Amino acid sequence: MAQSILYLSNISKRYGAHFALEDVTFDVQQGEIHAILGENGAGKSTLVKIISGQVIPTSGRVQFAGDDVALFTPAHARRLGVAMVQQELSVFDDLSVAENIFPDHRFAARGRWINWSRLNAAARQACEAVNFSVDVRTKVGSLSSGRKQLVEILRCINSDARVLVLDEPTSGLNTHETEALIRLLKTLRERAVTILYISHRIPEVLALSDRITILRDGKKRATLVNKDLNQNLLVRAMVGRELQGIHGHVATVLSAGQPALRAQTVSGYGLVRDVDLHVRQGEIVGVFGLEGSGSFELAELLAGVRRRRNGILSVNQKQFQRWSPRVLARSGVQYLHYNRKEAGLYLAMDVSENAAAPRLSALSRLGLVDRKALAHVVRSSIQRFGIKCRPSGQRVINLSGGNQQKLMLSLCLDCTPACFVVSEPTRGVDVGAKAEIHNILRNIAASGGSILLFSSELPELLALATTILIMRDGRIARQVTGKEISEESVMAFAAGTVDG
Amino acid sequence: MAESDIKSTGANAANAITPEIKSTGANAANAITPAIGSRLRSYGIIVVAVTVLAFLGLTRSHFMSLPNIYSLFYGVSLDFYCVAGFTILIIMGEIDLSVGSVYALAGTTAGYLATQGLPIWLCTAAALGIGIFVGLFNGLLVVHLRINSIILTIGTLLLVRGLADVVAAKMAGERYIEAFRDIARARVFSVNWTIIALLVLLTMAEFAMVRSAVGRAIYYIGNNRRSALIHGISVGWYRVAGFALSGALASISGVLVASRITIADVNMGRQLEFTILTAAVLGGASLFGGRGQVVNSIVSYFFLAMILNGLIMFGVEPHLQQVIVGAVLIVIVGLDTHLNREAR
Repeated sequence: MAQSILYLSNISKRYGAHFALEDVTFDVQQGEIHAILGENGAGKSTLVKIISGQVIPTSGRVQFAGDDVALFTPAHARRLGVAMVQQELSVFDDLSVAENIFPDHRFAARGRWINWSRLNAAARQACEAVNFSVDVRTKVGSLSSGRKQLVEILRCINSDARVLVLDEPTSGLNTHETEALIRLLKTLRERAVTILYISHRIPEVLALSDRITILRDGKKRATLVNKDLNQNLLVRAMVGRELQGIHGHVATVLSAGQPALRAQTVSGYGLVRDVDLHVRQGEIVGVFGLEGSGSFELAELLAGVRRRRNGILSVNQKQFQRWSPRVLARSGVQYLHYNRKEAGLYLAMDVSENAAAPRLSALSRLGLVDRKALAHVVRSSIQRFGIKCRPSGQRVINLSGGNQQKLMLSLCLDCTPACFVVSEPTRGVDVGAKAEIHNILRNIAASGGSILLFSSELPELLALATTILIMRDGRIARQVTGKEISEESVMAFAAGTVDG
Repeated sequence: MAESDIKSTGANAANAITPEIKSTGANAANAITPAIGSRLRSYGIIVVAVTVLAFLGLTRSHFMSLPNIYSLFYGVSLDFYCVAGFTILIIMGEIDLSVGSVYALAGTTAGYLATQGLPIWLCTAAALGIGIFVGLFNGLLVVHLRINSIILTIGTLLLVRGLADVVAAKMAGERYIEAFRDIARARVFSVNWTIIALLVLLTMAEFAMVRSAVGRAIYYIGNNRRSALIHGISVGWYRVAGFALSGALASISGVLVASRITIADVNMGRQLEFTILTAAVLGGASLFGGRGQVVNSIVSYFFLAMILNGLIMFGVEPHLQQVIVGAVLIVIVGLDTHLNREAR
């Protein structure tokens, strides 16, 4: 049996009442490629952060080469020969590709002077090894994010590390680059480099790894030896959770109403290309996509907060060639952003000021905000959404995450519009608040509203949506309705193991 | 697991500031509920102001005399427009450093044209046109080319200052004609009309910022521009209009001040932008936007004017005035950043 180089025993990480990781134990053996597989929110990133020392586990032990590691900092990692590619890129934008691949002064030939030709030649060689065609003298800042990622991977690979930790390394790469990377990782394994490979992409994991540890809901489900495994088995292991009460399937059959929102060949400047979709009155249509599929970008395009390249949007039969959130709000469409810290709230202002923002003109008389009407709106929102707060004098930043989320929802859902583009409505809220939010969404649909629901949580979509659109590579790869909907089928389409 | 991270930081943040909730609660009526920092600071400023004024009043008998205070107040009533425009922009999260130059160019141009025999109303309109033009230029470039407003308006500061110097040089220290000098001098009930205008307009501006939909939109944009966009506020339009307003108001102040100083002065409005910036920050405005009040900026501006006036009475070298303004700015910004770091 090979020696285990990294050993995690009974690792738990708790945030409030919520376990991001619960009692996870596994080991990584010297010289193996070990994959961590799990869907969004399964605890992969927390695990990586614990291994990299950015997050301290609530309980449990991390051992490296047989020694306990109490406080694991990037400096330790370097000394122990661990190199890491993280989801957040850490490249030097103003330096060249070559300098990014070899940031240490390895090519300081004569005294302290850099031997540029040797540096560039080595960088060129490193790039060729992964079929990465780039002028190594270009500044990294001018590259696309996928290519930046490749540069970062190359830096790690070429750092003589004994252990490589790659967190979703292929999320920005095209198939060509991905294949080259996989080939390269295999050659590194022959050189006895240990690789921990974190991904939700099943085909890659199958092609690459020796062993696979599957995480689901923060718990380890299994560590499997990659022999006689197939995609279906992994998909099931990855998503097969018990459906709980709040996740009850409610695919109610609706009377076929008019399409309230319809998009035709909408494309953006990023990933999204030629998206067609429609949402009828009283319907909740879900959109699911893994990271890098362009689903959040699509939500922003439809909401008018991101510049569109082309396409037509119709709201209640009224067509728009171009649209802004203002125009949409007037025609009855509201948007809920997926990240409340980024947009959707005014954190330094109080609840009633937040409540006034999306309905300023409705609340104004002769240009002045009607305070009585505002107080009324605030009272009813607080009541309807069960927000625990004081309406005035308490800054929103001081509310709990769940209450902030509910407030943000109330800002957009309590308005008169009847069509909502909702992106990650339950991100970072606890189970109770999640159930309340789900009920609110159902009630809106039941009373004739239309909801386009973007979520990375499959159970949420299964619980709410009557139709699920699955995005992959910026397109809608597949639409599943009614009985066709299952976690396995959706995940299989999204991960690309089945063709749409 | 990004979601749980967010949750945890949210909870931590809430704990870290819980004691403050109570202290700010009483101040709920304010436009923007201030953090404990700005409250503490506003008390601090009052204490410092009273101390300084008492000291000046006791040591220099002339300082507290009605004519001296009146003259300071009169000066502030002329600069008021410029300070108001600047503050509104800073609340929106933008900075217009070209105000001092616009003020000079508009003022000297109006005076020059009047001396050339043009009717006063036309001269004022021309000055206003200059202000709006420069403001639109700033606003359109900042919004559509996404240029940082500090950098851009430093550019316009230099550019417009150059033009102002050309006009001032044409006048070569000559006095403006009587009719032009009378603009700022006109009195109503034996008080300069600008002082009455200050009181009326300041009240209206403050009311509008706190109660009107437009005023609220300005605070929303400064607080979180992306949220404001999502909530259907025409953010781009507001930002361009804000710059245009800032330019227009700077030109009004410029005309009034040129009329008061009676001669074409090359030093008119030089470094005014930094004095106003200091006053705005002293009055609780944040360079990151979302905070600030026109009335507080004006009070702070008046306070700065009094200190500078007091220094002159003590025979302090006039060039040292800059040292004082600079020191005040550094102390206030340092304090502000420090207190905000604790609060956030």
